[in-house]
Amino acid sequence: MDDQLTRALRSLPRDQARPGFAEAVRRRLEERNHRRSFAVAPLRLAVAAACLLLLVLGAREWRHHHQRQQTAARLAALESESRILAAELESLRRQLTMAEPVVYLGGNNDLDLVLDLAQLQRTGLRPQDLRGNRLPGSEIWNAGPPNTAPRFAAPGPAEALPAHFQPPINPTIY
Amino acid sequence: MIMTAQAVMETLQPSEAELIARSRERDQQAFTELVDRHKDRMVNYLARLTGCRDRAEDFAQETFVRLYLQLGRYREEGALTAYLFRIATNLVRSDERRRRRWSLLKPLLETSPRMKTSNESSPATSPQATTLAHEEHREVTRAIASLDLIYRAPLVLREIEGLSYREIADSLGCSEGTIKSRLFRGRQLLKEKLAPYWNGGH
Repeated sequence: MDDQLTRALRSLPRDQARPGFAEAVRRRLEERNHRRSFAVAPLRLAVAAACLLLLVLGAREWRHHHQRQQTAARLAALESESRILAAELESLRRQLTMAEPVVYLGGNNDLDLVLDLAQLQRTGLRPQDLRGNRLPGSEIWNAGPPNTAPRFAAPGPAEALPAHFQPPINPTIY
Repeated sequence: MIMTAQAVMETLQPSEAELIARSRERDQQAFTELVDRHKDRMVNYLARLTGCRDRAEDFAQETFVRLYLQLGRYREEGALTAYLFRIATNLVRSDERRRRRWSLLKPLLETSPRMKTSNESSPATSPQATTLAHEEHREVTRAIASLDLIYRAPLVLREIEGLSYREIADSLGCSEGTIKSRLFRGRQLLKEKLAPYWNGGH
C-alpha cells in the first residue's frame, strides 16, 4: 500500500497559476500600499500632534520650573540678606547699649576731641557754665602717629587746643 | 563546447539573488520575474494543502505580497523557495485557525470547514472527473485535505513537491527528526483514509 500511496501522490496533476497571476499580485500590492498610506496618514498626524502637545507641555513645564527656581533663589537671597541685616541690627543695638555716652566733637589726624557725657552729667554742669571754659571731663585724645600707643593729653585750658581746630558741625556719636 | 538554446537562455537570466536585490529596491519588473519563477510551485503546493484551487490561488498571491513586504527582512540564508513555503504554510495555518474559531461560534454550521473545503476543491467539481484516475485524484486530494496541517504540510512538500528533509525542516521551522516522524505518521493516516477506497469499499 506504501507504493500505491506514493504513486497516487506523485500522479496528482500539478496545478498551475492562472494567467494574470503576477498582475493580480501587483494589484494586491498597490491596494495594500494605498490602504496603508491612508492608514498611515492619520497615524502620522496623531503622532505629530502628540509630539507638538508634548513639546508645548514640556516648554510650559520648563518655564514654570525655571520661574520656580528663580523665585526660590530670590527668596533665599532675601532671607539671607534679612538674616545679615538682623545680625547687623542686633550688633548695632548691642553696641548702642554697651557704648559709653560720649560725643565725638571732631579732630584731625593728630587729635580727637571727645566729650564724655557721663562725666559731664556727674559734674552737674549746665551748658551755659561751659561757655568760655574748659570742658571738665573732656579729654584731648592724641591718636599720635600710626602704630603707636594712644595717650591722653594733659588736661589744660581751652586755649591749649590747636589753632586750626574747628568744632564739627555734626559730631559723630559712637 | 555546444550549448543548447535553453542553456544559453538560462545563463542570460538574472540570478535569484540579483532579482531579490532589485526587488528590494522596488524594481517591479524584477519582482514580477520572481513571481513568475515560483508561482506555479506555490499554487500547486497550496492547492494540495487546502484542497481548493481558488483558495490556493488566493493564498499564493498573498504569499507573494507578504514576500514583497518582508523583502527588507529576508536574509538569503536558505533558498527563497523554503521561505515562500513557510509564508504559505503560515497563511494556511492562520486561516484554518480562524475557520476553526468561526465554526465554534457557529454551532449551526456543523460541517467541518476542512471537509467543506475539500468538497469545494476543483478536482471534485471538475466536469472531467469521470475517469478512474480522476476519481483517485479526487479521493487522494480529499484525504490529504482532511489531514491535520502538521502532517499535511510535510507530506505535500515531500511527496508532491519533492523537497529534501532539510528543505522541509527549513520551510516549516522544525527539526529534521520532527519532519520524519510527522511524515511517517501522515502517511499512516493517509493510508487509513484511503484504504476503504483502494479496497473497494468505497
